[in-house]
Amino acid sequence: MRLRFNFALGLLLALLVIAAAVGSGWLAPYDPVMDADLMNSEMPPSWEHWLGTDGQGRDVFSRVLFGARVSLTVGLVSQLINSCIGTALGVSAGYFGGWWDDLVNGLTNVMLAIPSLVFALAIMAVLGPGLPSLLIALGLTNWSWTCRIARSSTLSLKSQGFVQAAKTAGFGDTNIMRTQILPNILGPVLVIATLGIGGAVLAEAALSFLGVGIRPPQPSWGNMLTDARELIRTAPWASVFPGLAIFATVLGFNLLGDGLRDMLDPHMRTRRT
Amino acid sequence: MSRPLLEIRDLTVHFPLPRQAPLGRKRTLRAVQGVNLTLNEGECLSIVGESGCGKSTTALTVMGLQEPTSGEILFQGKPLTGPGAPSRKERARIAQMVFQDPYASLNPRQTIGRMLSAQLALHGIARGREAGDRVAAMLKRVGLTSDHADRYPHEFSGGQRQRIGIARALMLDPKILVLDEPVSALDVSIQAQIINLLMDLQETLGLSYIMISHDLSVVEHVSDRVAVMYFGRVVEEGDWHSIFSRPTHPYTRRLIGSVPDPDAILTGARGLPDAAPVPDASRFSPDISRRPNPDEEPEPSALVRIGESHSVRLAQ
Repeated sequence: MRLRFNFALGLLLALLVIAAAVGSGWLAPYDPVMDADLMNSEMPPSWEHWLGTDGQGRDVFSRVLFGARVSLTVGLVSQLINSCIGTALGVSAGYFGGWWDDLVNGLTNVMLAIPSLVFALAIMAVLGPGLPSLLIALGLTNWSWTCRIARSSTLSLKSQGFVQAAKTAGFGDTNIMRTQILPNILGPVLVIATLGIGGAVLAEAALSFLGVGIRPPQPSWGNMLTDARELIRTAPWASVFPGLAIFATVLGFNLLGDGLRDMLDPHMRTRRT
Repeated sequence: MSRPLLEIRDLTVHFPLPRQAPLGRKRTLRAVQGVNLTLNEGECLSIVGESGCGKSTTALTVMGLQEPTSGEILFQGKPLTGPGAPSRKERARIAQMVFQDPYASLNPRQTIGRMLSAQLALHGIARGREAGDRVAAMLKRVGLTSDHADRYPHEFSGGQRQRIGIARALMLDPKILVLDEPVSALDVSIQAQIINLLMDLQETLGLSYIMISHDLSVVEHVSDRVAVMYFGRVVEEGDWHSIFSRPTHPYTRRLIGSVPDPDAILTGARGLPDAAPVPDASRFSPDISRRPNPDEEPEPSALVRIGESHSVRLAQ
């Protein structure tokens, strides 16, 4: 029961963020960039401005809605890249072993040794700010955990009878990795991925906060926090609401991942019916 | 005599062990040392011995899951190992394996039907409806029903899973079935059912079995010939009658003596059958009282014929 409640809450939060991102064009009462009204800056939440206004008089509610687009794109796309890289490297390394395993292992350790945010910062410095470079920077720097989990799960699966049986039945290595190993490691990979979506949302916020992510007039939750950090005493709503949005998104995807893992597990499926 | 179906010639499998010191001597685990075995058509050859004696490694080499260090395996006179070996796909039609652990040997995320019909599709035997019919027929053959095809492995008991394992192994119509401890993970009552099923299948399909086991009471029921392995070597080999009526090598005698025999205990007639006469019984080798040292070369020894299709290993 508790499991279902967590999953439902996660799904609700995730859907809420997705709805905000998709529907921000219709839902937002003001333009997030153009409707700056310096006469009405730092206004507390009211009927005109549900979540108040920021230092330049822009509507915080509209900016949070539009920020969801950036956060969600960054979270989903960069984590998808991470999961693909990590799974492909991890499964092949665990399955084939030998020099390829050593190479992948070494690379993973290097990636783990360098803080991924620093690495992403370096890539951003080369590529310049903007959404595409953000996707690349975050997509290439956070696959090491997926890779490790995929590799160790593959190692333990490889010696099991059903993988050996697939070999003796004549299936090729690619086929075995795809049909025998991949479905069995999807659970842990998915859980890591949902954690990673939250992490990528946070990383986007951090990079934008540092000024190398999304360029300022465009709203993202990260650069909204940057703008609002000097106003934390006079206009706390300008930083609290983007912060809450980040929190809700990260929580939502984590709960969603946990729930999905349990539902993908065939053991759980029969127990429920 | 006709040519044997499968010949294992001087098979050796060595595994490198980690050195004990950074510059220490190279150490080798001699898992299989010069094993010669033959399997005739329609026959069941049992390889028995304790865990770690190399019986499973021998089986894996036959299946192509383990590369031999030296020696060769021939199927109908054609090599199964080394250069000129058949591809994995070609080999699949020759030999299949039934695994020991019925729980680890089925993919938990594949239905039984998908697992079985994928093999048919891969080898271009049947697709779609026809594949479904073949799967249903195979499930019936191993004592299950056709609606089991839509289920996942965890919905089955251990005995049923082992039946599924047998169905999978038979799907491609192989000539040889390697049974790696097929019943040791099952309840005693289920063991008998599976053994009976295997014997029926051997008869109706004309299969040849290589059975790996440490359980002599199972071996006694099924096998035509028995090879006793000990620390990587065959120490005694013969038809099952000579092995069980005249166990000669001290290790074989120890193995057979360890099988509980309620009749003998009740009648008080406990005791082993006499050993066959051996030219010089003091030359049993390898020394069965200690483990072989991976740092040393093993003592030379050879299988000596002591009866019609009965040989035992003696030191040279």
